[in-house]
Amino acid sequence: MTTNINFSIAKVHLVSRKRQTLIVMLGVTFGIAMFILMISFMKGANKYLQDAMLSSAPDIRIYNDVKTNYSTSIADEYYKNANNLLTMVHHPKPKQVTVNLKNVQGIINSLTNNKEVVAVSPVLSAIVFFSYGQVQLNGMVDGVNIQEELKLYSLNEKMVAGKAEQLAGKENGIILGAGIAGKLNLKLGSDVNLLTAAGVNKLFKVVGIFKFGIGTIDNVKAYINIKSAQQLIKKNKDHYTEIRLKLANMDHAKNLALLFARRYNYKAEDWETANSSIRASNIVRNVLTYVVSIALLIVAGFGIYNTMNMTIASKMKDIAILKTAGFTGKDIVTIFSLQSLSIGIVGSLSGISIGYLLSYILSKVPFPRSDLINLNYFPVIFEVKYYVFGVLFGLLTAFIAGLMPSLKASKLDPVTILRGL
Amino acid sequence: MEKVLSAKNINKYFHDPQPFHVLKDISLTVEKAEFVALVGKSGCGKSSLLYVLSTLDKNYDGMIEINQCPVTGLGEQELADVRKKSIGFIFQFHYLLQDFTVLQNVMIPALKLKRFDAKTIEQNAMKKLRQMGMEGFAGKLAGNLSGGQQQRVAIARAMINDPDILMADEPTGNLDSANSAIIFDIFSELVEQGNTIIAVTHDNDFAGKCTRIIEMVDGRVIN
Repeated sequence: MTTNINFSIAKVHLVSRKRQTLIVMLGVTFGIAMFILMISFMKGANKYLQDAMLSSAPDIRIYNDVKTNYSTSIADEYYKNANNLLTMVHHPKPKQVTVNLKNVQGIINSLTNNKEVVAVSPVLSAIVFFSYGQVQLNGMVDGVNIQEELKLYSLNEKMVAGKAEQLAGKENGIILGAGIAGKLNLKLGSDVNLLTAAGVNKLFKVVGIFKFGIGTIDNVKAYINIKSAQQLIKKNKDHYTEIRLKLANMDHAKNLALLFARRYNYKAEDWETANSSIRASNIVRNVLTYVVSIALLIVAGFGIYNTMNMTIASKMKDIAILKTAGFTGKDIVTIFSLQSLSIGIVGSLSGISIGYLLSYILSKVPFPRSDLINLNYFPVIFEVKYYVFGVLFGLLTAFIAGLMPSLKASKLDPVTILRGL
Repeated sequence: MEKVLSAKNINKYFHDPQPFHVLKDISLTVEKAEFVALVGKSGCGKSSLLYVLSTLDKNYDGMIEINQCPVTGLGEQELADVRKKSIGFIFQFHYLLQDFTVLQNVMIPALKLKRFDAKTIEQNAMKKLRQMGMEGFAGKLAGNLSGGQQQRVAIARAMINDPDILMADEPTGNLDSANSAIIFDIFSELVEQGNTIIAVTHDNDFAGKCTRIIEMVDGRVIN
């Protein structure tokens, strides 16, 4: 026995009832381990879903919205001064509208000077038919400068064949969505014919195939060089339909979009507005994650509290004996707090270790293969803050669970305990 | 003679399950080297009186002095000091810490008091155990001992800090006559060495051999 008697007594209590100590400790361990596993998996799933849905959405899109003004007509203008004449034009049609942006180079220069903007990619989108043999599919091509476009999204992560950069070196190259490639039986190096409403027919060579895991993209979309796109719709080389932006902080998108819309007098749409359903589902999933985690922690917390309470109840006799031997209430609290703290430390450390192990195993479980989902393993993220939180929670709960009953016991007269036995 | 313990006008009530006046205006003094037997029928309040006298129960009216120092109304810390310095306890059901060895059980009050270093305390504890004839069991777990053996260890533990007064609640109540005789002999020897003992007992033989008998009836002391 060492000189610190409280410490020795706590140690003997822990060691002499190994089974009981172990069970209490396992309560902490499993609670924390399950918390770590759940939050890592749910947050991983959230991140995967958000990445998948936003992977092809720029932070801000600046484009020329088709808006036609039907409020005036030439008939109105002409008969304006005639008396008692009611002019009425049925079903007016719009005059020719252009969807391209003017002074694109000027806007780009202005945007690149803005510190919030990380990357600027001018794009020409066009509706096309893909044809290969007798099969024709309608779809959409983005004429891009691939170097700029790659700064916006990690397109290379989504490539199932080829490399996105190869588009730059090949003027008639095309990067296809996996859905189109599958339907038209196209592989790397295959030729595919593109046909547009302008009546242009042009042959492209496949340099890459991507898969976002979203059917509406993989089945319709392709990337080509901007110059080819301009040729396809017979436009000159400063014809662009939209400018895509990546921001330093995507949370500022909403305010910046308003600013850019006013400054350039075009429509500027931020990712949140463009994907409001994603935002809603994000909120729902995040709340779900927190509700499940909190429920898990509460259950674990009560488990810890219960077992701790019972342990101390079974030591009431010892408390009475120690008090008659001259131990104060403070000594009693110290003895049991030391025990619950050691249980909390060992329990929560082994909890995060087991939690990490389980998360790691889950992250190595293959996800059922599917042509549409680009996911090889279950999504799990490993974030230090969840582990720190797990340890703190385990420590705190165990400490409080030990403190409360021992505080109560410490206030009793020894005789109250002895009479009750 | 030297007064070790004095109690004046002690009154105590139980409120649960119904109001009950358990100790009625009790006054007594105990002097050094007295061996007092506190006797009476079940429910007469003798155990309650012992708990009050021994500071284990704070819930009473009146005045108690141990070694001419008032202990009534002291705080938790001061009471703990009084208990570890001046009082040794022995209970009917031996009340050793079951998870500790015999030697550790005896040493714990002394380690708390810190009057000596751990080595001296261990020597003292062995000396006390030898006095009780229990030195051979020093390394054994307290839970593995028989009732009589545990009671002897409990006496050694009560004596470890050389208290002014030894309080025993039915020390032989749970033991056969052979063990009772051993315990009584130990007590007699302790009294001869100048120790003061107050023992609550049912055992008339035991009481008859004490130097003084205090009899209680219905919460009052009669002589």
